[in-house]
Amino acid sequence: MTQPETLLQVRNLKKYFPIRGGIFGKKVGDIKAVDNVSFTVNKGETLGIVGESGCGKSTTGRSILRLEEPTAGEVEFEDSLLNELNGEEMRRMRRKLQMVFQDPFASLNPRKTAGAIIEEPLTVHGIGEARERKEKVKELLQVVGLDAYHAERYPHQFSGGQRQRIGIARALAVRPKLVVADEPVSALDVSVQSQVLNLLEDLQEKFGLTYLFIAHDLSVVRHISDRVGVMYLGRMVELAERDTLYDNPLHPYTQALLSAVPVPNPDAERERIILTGDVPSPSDPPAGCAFHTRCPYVMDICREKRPEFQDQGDGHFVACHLMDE
Amino acid sequence: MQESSIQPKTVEMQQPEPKGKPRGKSPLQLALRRFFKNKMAIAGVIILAVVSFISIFAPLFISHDPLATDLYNTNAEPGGEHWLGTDDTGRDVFARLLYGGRISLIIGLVTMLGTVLIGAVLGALAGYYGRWIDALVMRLTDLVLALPFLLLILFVIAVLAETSLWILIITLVLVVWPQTARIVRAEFLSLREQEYVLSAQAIGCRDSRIIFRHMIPNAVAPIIVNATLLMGLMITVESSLSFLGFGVPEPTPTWGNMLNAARNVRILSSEPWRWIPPGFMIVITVLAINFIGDGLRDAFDTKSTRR
Repeated sequence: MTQPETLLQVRNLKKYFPIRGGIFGKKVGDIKAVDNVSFTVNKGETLGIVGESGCGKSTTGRSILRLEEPTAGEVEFEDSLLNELNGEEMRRMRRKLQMVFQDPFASLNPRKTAGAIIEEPLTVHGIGEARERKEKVKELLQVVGLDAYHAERYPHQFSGGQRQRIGIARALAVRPKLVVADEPVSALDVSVQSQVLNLLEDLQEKFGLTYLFIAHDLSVVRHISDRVGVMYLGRMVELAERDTLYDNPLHPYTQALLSAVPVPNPDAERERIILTGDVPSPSDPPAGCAFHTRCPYVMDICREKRPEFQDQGDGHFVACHLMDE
Repeated sequence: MQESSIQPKTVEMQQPEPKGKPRGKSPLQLALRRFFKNKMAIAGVIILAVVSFISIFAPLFISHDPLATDLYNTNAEPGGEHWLGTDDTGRDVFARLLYGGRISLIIGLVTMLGTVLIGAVLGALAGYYGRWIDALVMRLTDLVLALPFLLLILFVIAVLAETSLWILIITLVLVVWPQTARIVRAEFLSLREQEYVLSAQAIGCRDSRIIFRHMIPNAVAPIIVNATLLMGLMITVESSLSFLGFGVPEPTPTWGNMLNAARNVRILSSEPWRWIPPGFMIVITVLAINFIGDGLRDAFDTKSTRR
């Protein structure tokens, strides 16, 4: 196996949202939405990121694309540090980095036709003449499984699945290298989910795309990802090859998460790990390991020292003190 | 790496284009269609059209000069030569009524346009950028809204020592823009959180494009409704100011200036043709505009079930 080429490298990414209070809007604290997250995405692969709602996975995606300005950390894409680009440089860079959004009913401007929506990225990056762009829009519509005449229609005339296809066509219009897909199928019906997932896979093959695929549905992520990262309370707790992670999860949180996935076999023996308590508030995360308040294997060190996110061999990263035993 | 070209994979499976109307209706077209089903709104449009027409083309309907005085024929009763009589300097009341409509409509329209322009731009900037721009604009609106309206006008007139139509319009705009700015800002604050605005940023749109192509078109409904109702309000305000003597200076005919005559008890009780017609014109014009405003609001509000 050849050494995979790194496309995106995220180093110690942090995104804190300030909490303001009092009459003068003084900063009284931080919501630590993303707290020191590091990972790499290889060219041509799909890296899935899973976690519960509010664990910071969407914010991670948005911070990478600087839709939310990261508080700290570095994002290296190809040879440039995205977080150091100025406004205009970043705007041009967006040609290579696109995003597919979660809610197909909210992510398309209701006052523009499907054609205008798909054409816009071409227009703002000054690609092609007006007529070429119109042609390209028609091609894109067909590539995502719609018809050319759909270009004249408005978003409210499409179903959720069709809208998501428009969103995908828009993201692909400028032939990006990396697509951040933020829960692209969670708002869709289950029957439509698989169609859109298959479309994403076909397009990946066809255009050599790299996906950062964010979702909360473990089976969806398992289906599409090459590697999977698990986030908890703004931190990456485990990251590994898909099969390694699903068959041999090392972090207690991942184990609990996977044990909650229903198995379509009533006779299968399975051990369900039930976590007690709630996710702590990201404004006041527990000291040490963020998971120690709910971890069944908690030790003294977990309450004091934050575990390092370390490679346990074969690119299986885990942040847990149990690994040091 | 190889660049594969975009190839439609299901060309032969393509459906034929459906017959009929392939092009969809935009939300604006749908709203207009709802608007034209609203009888009150249509009545408003018709009344406003008639009032505008007779004011703009006043010379076609009346040969009297609204400014020409005739001291031998003052305070005449309505009759053949002067349909609504003459005022105390012998000016034809009907001519003043028609020409006065021009001024009232100009004040309503120009003040509305100016307010929307200033209010929408400042509100949009405040709502989109937030931070210090927002704080600055909002404190400015607080300041203007805290000033007593009449006092401000009196102050301007006192400082400038004279008024004209345009000074009045500018003053009115300076007084009412905060309303529109607040509405647009509120709208922008909610639009900014919409995913399609985020997506516009994600595909690489510049801020100006996001504001003008994505956000303003989606904030246009409340802006239009506010603008229409504002126009009605401004016509009333002009009348009130003229009635108090702070409006457009005489001898320019305005409906408010004509109402001013009703301050005289003799005219109020025995010469109703002097003040009922301008009062009536103000009422029906403002009513018509408000009907249009309400109709637009209902048409744009897809959630409302009222018809």
